[in-house]
Amino acid sequence: MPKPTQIGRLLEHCVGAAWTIREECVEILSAKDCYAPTGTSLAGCGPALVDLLSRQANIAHSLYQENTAGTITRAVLEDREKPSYLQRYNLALKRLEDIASIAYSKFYAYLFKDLPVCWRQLYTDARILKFCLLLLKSPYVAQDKSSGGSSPDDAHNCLDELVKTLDLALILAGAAGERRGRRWVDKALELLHAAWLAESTGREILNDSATNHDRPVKQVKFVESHGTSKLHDDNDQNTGTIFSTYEPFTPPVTRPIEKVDALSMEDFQTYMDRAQNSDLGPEPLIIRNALGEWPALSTRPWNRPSYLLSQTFNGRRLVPVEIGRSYVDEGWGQKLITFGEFLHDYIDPTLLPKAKDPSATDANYNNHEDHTTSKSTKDTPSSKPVAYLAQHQLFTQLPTLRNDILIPDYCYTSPPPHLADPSINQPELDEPLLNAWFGPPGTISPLHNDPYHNILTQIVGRKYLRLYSPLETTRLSARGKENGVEMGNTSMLDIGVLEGWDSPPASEEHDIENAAKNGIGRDAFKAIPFVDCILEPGDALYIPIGWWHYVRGLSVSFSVSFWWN
Amino acid sequence: MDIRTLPIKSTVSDMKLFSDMYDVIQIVAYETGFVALSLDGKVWTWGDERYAATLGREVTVSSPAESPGLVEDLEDLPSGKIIKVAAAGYTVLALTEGHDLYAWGGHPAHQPLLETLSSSPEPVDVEENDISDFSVGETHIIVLTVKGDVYTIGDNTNGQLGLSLRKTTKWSKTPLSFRGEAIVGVKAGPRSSFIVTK
Repeated sequence: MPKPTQIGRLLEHCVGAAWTIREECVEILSAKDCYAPTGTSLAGCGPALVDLLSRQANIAHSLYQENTAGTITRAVLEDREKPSYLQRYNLALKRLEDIASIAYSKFYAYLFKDLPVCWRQLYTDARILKFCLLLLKSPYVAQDKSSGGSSPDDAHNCLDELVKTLDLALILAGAAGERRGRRWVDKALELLHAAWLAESTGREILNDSATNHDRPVKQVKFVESHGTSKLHDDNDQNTGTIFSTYEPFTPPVTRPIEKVDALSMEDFQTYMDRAQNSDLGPEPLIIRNALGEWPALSTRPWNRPSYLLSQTFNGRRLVPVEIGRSYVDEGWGQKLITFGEFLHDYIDPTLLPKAKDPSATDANYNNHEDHTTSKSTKDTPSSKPVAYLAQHQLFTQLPTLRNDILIPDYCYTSPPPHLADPSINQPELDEPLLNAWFGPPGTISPLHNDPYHNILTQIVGRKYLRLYSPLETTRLSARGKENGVEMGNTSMLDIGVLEGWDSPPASEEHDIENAAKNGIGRDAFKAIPFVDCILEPGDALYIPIGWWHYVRGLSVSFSVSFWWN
Repeated sequence: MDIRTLPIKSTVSDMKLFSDMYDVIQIVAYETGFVALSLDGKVWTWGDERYAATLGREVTVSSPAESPGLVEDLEDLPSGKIIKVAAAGYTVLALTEGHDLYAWGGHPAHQPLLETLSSSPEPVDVEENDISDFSVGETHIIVLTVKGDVYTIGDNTNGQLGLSLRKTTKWSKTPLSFRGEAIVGVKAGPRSSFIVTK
């Protein structure tokens, strides 16, 4: 059973949130000019929404107080003879959904960079309050022992909902807000994780004494019906299966990038400073054995699904994935799914038995938050599209995984600016920007360039990369603005199609024709110089700023990129 | 009449002057843009190019999304000129003097409010009724027929359809308990509906 202290702390954490949300709303509403957009608070959402949020915070707070006083239990919440609690509870949940959906509609209306932070905070606070209400009714908190009415599925669905609620705030809204925000959400997930672990341990003990007929009811209700016991066997993170290394297709490396063994920071600085071609600046370089000390390659192995599942509430955490071969394809879209669904549906179906009814959770989003941004991503079982967990700030969302990797020393050097086009240079970053790239064989990042220097580290599996220098930009047919979105950093050239590795996407205009329109036929394409390589686990590739790169996952592959300047 | 867009806390230099429109009798805003109507039935749209379907016209270099452009599909309609427009969320509606309702718009990630919704104006069939008034919310539409019936379609999460179901993709007649007053108008809030009686 969860230690009372963990659940107790989580409850206190929720009381604190309900209280501070209410306080903050009251402050805003009592200010003389409640319309004054301060930019850093909820005030920008207007008094009507602030008031609506305030009232839900009030309800949550009073329900919590009654819970503490022991006058409210799950049984009371469900008592038909005293419907007032349940009514208040359900109405508050409904209003919180309304608030979240109003805030969420602004996420579409604005470009994310222009989105006033008040809407992100409003969304986050609504999700925090929803989490607190759900927790109150969860089997973790329900105090009634006699009812016995909660099935194992209840416990599951409840944990699914709790995790999802906070993940939506993290992923969609960046968990904004000064008084709660990311700090609050991270802490809540940490406490919930501890409670969940304690509860799992309880189950393990239970499994050991399976002959015990005197099994307490409360433990029985947590026994999972789908595959947790299997995960338990794998819980020793150094045993169990690893991701398949199978490569359906391996392109030839024809112009290999220079390789060196791990070099010192100073030597790397020298490498960048002493470019052979002074018009071009430093060139790409593969650094082998660059990730020596990383737990992700040793004690906390990312190539073991069991380890990744142990860090994600057994696959319950939500992740945004890109569905479709390449982001320039018709029918490409982004979708939020659980990490477990991602592993099972797109990486390896044998890894985790399919969740009971994934459509049920899907339907929940589609309510007003349909995260699929394209029209035609309907999967058919026969032709499963490729899914890619790409360019997502996974490590802000899952801080425990962040501890498994180290920022390479190379990111603390001073690289040269972009020479050909200084307008690309960005303000200096305080620290490198980390992104995770995790997917099955066949993921493709189309030929594009980035406004930062990049150390791309390979942790699991292999990836093929082809790079073109910024001096070739004019020959690479950069796109323009497409449907109101700037695509100038992406080339029209589909390397896989031009090389004959892929068939052209049926739904799209022929890429060769596209290229021809821009004066580049197949022969001209072949004449453009490039360098290429296959990255192995433990390798780091230095991609200088502005270099065009095409990236292709060969096996199941997990990479982390570090952008710096 | 000149139309100026006035951002919050704007200065005169922030103002944008649109001089191509004339005799404007109505302007409505939706989530990412605007629709203007002139006395002689011309409809112009402008807004965010990412949701180009709501503009109901082609976006070209000479007619960019962010400047008012004429919705040419609404010219020379069989039932006369446009006399009223409504817009909200990602849906735009326009009514002709012959009581035909036209609709366009849509959001790439949302279920469209009407099956026929696209980037070009299409007539809306409300069980073959002539329409006398109409309004649109974030995710629902309410219309008043010439016969005096009220129909709704769309999302009912907040009870905005006046029905007991969750949502509907077919036009449903609203069961109204009459008190003898004739209904003369309908109006949708973002997630609510109003009926005006005589």
